[in-house]
Amino acid sequence: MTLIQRFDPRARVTFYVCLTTALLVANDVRALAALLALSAVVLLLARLSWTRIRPVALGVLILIAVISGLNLLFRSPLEAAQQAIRALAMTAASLAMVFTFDPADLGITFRRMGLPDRFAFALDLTARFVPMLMRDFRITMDAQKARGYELESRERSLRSVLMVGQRVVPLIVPVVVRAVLEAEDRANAMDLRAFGTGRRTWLRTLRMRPPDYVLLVASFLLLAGAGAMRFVPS
Amino acid sequence: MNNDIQTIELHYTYAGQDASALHQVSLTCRVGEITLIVGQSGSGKTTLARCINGLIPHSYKGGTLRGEVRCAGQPTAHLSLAQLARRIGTVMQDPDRQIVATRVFYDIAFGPENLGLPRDEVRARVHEAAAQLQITHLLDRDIHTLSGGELQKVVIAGALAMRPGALLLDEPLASLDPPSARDALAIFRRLADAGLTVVIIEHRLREALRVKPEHVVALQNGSVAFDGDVAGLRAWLNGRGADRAAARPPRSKGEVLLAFRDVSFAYPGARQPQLRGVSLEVRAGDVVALIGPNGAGKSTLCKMAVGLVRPQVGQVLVGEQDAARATTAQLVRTVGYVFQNPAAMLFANTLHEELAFGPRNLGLTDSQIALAIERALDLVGLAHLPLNQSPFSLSFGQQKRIMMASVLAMRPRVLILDEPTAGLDDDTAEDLLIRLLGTPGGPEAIVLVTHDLVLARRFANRVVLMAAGQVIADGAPEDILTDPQVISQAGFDPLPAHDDPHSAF
Repeated sequence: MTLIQRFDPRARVTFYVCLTTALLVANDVRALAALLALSAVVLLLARLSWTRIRPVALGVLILIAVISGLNLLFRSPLEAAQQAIRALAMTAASLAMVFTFDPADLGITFRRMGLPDRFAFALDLTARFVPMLMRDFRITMDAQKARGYELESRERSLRSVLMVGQRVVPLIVPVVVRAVLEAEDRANAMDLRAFGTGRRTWLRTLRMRPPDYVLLVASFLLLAGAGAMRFVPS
Repeated sequence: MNNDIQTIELHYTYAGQDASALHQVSLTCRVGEITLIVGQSGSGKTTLARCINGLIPHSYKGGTLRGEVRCAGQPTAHLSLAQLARRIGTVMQDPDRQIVATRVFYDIAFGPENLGLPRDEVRARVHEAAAQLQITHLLDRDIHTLSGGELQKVVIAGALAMRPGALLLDEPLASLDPPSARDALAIFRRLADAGLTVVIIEHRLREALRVKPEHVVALQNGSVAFDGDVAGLRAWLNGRGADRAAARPPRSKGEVLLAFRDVSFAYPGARQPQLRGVSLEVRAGDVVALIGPNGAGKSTLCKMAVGLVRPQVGQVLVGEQDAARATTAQLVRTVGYVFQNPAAMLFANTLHEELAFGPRNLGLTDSQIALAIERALDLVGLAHLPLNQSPFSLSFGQQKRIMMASVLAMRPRVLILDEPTAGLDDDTAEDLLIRLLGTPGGPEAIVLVTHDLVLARRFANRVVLMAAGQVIADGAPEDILTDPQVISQAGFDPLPAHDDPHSAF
């Protein structure tokens, strides 16, 4: 378990929300740079291996590079720098958050932050649903390839570019139809295990300890500081 | 308390339908016994299950329900789903769709949590249910790391954690390979012997009878057609003349259509290689049954034949072509691959559009496509269907045939069928294969990936047995399937030496 995983998930969610909001609010380059440094420290503390985050991180980094290039061309260097720092910091903070957050904690975290049972549990289900959706999508991709389907059309014409929307129909329809049908089974299975019939027990418990309160206070101070720099005239 | 489940003159019609799904169904499932409810697709098995576990009328509203379901002598009509769930635990067909948590422990805890029990009690029940199924060692595991058989045990434990007096299992063998199915059947037996009322709903009669049920009920068109013991069922089936001719073509050593030469493959990050030095040739005239437990490498090997997986070592030859230098779209002209579940591929508004998709991708002309579709539909016995119908309006069995036809319409020389009988009852599955093998003009070679040894003996002229990424036997079905020394290496039980159509009884 890494240092950041020792914090209570509620404190971590709060910290993440405050940090990203501060990044949006701040427009002073030095303040942004400080926030980027903070995000980088958080990412280092998450101790993620590059191979694990590469699929996500690489795409986002390329996107940031492209947008920064465009910003340099069409806007001022200052604006380009601000945007790039913001995006990099948010990426770092988000990677650290997403890749270290235990999906089994999702429901209970938001339940204890005030969401009703049903909504909180829906978050737990999402953690299961997304990987299943991706698996279904891979199977459908293979099944259609076995019928000679190719996502990229061989002809390189304007028409083929316009047809892209139509070309994904054989991939999207089976996955969506299946997800809808499975939702009925899933709802039945949950009914049969007495879901939603009364106040439920959450087996997982969360406990805020002194370091969590420190993190909570620090998060609010960070956000307040960023707001003050932006909106309070010096 | 006696936990018999009883239905009395049960009658049900779904909302918006004229025909009733069940009529006059009266039966008693006794405590400490296994009651097996069998019947073809559409016979009313699932509707009966829903009446017993309370999904009808609680979740399926608006239908007409007459008659009564009783549990432990009490009518269940006035009970809520939560109260019923504490009396009758239900395990549905696909374990994947019933699991709600990301970790085993929390999934088993889900039911007791919903009952609002104190935390200590919930924990105690999780451990108790896990111990009953001997899966305590799995409690800390992530769900996605489990095998199909393990998943199902988790689902059963989840139902048992509600401490029901009865357990209702809807097609519990559907997603299991033979070793896991044998395990599961032993568990059902143990639970019944421990005093639970166990009700199993299955359309795979042959496999389900291995649980040695005390009581069998056969449904037909929504009514009870048979109610008695296994011996009585045998007599009843014989009276119906349920057996039919096997259509096993003789093996002729034709031209090599598909060849694997010393092929190895490992998925990235996997500890064990999926395939280790596999060499295999499929010739014209072969009807190969490719058999092995889940994870043996069967699917990976088949996917290689159409380039969906590329070998890291070795060579795959499709016709004269080196698969490494061809795209999937090129390889499927020679090798057709039919996936297991039609839901993975059906997408079009009409059958014509669905069936034309493959041939069109290959660049066939409209007149060629029309001809190919006609032949393909004939091969699967669906030539009578109107082509403007939606594929989604068909029954599961018909969808499965359409999926097969959509690949046959590409006129492959080799046809690979992944679990062609999954989700079909024994009769429907055999009809399908009899038609495919018995109609001239079909593919020159067929590869059946299957768990069903009886089916393999009836239809294949060659068996290839795989285990742990290797081919461990390749030869005539009668040599391999009945040889305990060979077949047990893959974790299977051998078939009896003689092909008695009712050997499973």
